[in-house]
Amino acid sequence: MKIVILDDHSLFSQGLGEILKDNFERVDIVIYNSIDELTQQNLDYNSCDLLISDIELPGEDIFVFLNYVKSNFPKLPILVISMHNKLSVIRRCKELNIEGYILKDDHNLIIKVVKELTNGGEYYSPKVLKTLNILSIKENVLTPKEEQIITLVANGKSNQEIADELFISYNTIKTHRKNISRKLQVYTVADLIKYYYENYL
Amino acid sequence: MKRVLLIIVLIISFVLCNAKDINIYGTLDEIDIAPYCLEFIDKTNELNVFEVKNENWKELEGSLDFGSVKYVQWIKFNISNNTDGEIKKVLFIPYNHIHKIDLFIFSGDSLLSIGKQGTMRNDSSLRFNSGHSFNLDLKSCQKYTIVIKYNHLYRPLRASTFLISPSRFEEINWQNHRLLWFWRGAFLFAIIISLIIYFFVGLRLFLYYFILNAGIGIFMASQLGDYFIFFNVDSTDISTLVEFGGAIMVTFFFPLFLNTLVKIRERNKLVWNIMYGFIYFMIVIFVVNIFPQMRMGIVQYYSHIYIIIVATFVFLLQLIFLFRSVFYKDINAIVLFIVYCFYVGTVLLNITLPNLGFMPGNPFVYNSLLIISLIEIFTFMILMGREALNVYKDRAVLKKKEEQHQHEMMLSIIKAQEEERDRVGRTLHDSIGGSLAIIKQNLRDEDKNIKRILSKTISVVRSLSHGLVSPMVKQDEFQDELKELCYMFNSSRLKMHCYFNNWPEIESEEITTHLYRITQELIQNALKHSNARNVYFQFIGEDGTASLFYEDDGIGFNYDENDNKGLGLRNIRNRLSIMNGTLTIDSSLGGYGTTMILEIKL
Repeated sequence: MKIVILDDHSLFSQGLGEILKDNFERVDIVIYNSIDELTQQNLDYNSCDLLISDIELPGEDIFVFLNYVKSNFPKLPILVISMHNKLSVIRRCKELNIEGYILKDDHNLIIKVVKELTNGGEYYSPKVLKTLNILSIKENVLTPKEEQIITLVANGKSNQEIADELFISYNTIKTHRKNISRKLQVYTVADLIKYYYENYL
Repeated sequence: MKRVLLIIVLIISFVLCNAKDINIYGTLDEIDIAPYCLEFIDKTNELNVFEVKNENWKELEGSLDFGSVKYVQWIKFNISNNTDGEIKKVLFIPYNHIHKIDLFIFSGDSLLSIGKQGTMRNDSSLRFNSGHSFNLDLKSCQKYTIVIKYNHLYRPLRASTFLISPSRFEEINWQNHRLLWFWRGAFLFAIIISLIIYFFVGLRLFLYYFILNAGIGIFMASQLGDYFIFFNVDSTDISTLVEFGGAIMVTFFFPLFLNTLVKIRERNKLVWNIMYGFIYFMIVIFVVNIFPQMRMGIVQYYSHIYIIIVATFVFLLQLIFLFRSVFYKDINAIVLFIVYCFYVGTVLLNITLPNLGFMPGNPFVYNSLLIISLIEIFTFMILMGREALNVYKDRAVLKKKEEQHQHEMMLSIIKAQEEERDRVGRTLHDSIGGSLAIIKQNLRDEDKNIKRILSKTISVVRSLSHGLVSPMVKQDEFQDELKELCYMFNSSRLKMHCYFNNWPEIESEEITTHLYRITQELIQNALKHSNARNVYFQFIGEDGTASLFYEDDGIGFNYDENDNKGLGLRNIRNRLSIMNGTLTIDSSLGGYGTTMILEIKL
């Protein structure tokens, strides 16, 4: 089994290599510090069983590289091990169909994930999945305060009356109403009231 | 001194003075009779008119005379009327400040009448005439001898004397009078305005202008006899001192005033310093003259002469300075030079040349001075206005520059802060965090305690570095980053909400980073102070503006109180001002929550 590790922190990559050697038999570990080094050495991707990569390599765009590998050697599984539990990064990995994503402190998962991926599976650690879940959160279009405002508008209150009732300044009410119109794409009071009756009654 | 001066005058002047009789034909309206006068100096100061009349009279040396030194001066004219009818004339001496004048009219040896005037006499006619006038009735085919006794308290005096027809005298006197009052009005207006402008603008120019004109006013008032009008007392004694004061003010501040408009001092350093040496000595002389014992003596006479010479020297020097500055292509200098030439020309035509005898004298010598003073007032007002406008423009430019500078300072401070945070955060995250992870990995299972501590340490390092590392949010990551940032703080106590609507793609990483930091700050504030259960972030874009709505249902805060205290809010304000954004805060201590609206133009 041949595993390629791409990480600029040699302490980490060597440690990881040791751990893998301890846990797997006949494992061949190749370590690169940068994409530059990797491409210069003409690595035969087809002979590899797993590519373990960091996400942050100084001065290099890892996603371009990962995209290249993914589109040319779709069979080679990639495991991203990163310090970053960042939604934007995880989402991009997900979009590139990268098979695995764990955090650097998910140490107890490393053996499990390597096994999973070399067997053709996928693995995102629970913490990573939690972050990815943010994408599925749906927020209401209107905040409670905005709901209060359109309720009062529907009840025929003027901006000044709404301001007095909600203890907000007149100008803020105006801004809120502008914002509500923008979000709902509703630009007349009549349409706003219509929206209120359709959605809140 | 007097002799030297007179010799100079005589060399220049080649007009011969023949002490002949003045024939009145009644045709001329105005005759300067100074060239016809005879002079006698009474060194005993005790002779009466009858004794004097038979003394040895001499012709006046030249037409210009600085008067007696310490003796009473007598002047005599012989006038004859060769016509058939009676002729009425006014004998006019165009100087107000003469202490005592006694006028005796003789026909042959018999004394016909005596006229007594002068400031000592507290004569009300002075107030309207700006000079001393005596009516003469000249009968047909008669010869008259007019003897005038001057007592002018050491004050140099020109013996200008005119014969004028009564109608012409009346006419010109009133013209003169109107002009004088107009000049007084314009003059007061100019000095009051310049003083007011000085207090508001704080430009030295206006102060100099004020003092310069106040000096001219004091000088003129002393010459014209204004003190009699205002105080209704004889003030000859003090008015000499006041005249000195006025002359010194003018001489001292005129170059300073010009220097604010044209760079005279810089271009003529040596001459300037020498000139001011003489001017400072004028002040010393003034101080000496404050003591009545000194003033009422020969000192006053020489002080007068010194001041006249230095003032003339200074004024002519300014003309040369201005002429030199014209070559520096200084617009102010050109305008001033022209006005100044006009000024000097008028003085030359009306005072100097008649005094030297090249031209007939003018009995209303102050009129031309007043007119030129008016021209001076208005020209300088225009120049000063121009100068003040320039200063205002400069100030506006300076203010703008300062604002820009402040903006840049803030920018660089925030940038440096960001870089430093980033560096520390990255080191924490990459080196320390990474190494700790490896150490933890390689620990034996027995070291559970250490492992637990290490896990805690790692999570502290991560959350710390998370806050520190500059997000440098790329436009396509902005929504992800901000959502993550918000939801990271979700807990059972606090529910975070994050909503994006029509959010524009912001290309500037600087702006996205600022927005990230601002959001971070708002969350920190919410956590620390608001006691809110829900926090709503809305990122709304429309028509080139990006707005961030922050709402919470917490206890609120009194915004004014926190205006300068809260570091967090100040940080937000600074960042917004860099982006030219606005912040509206709507909150009060009433438990109605807080609303903040941040808007930036893209």
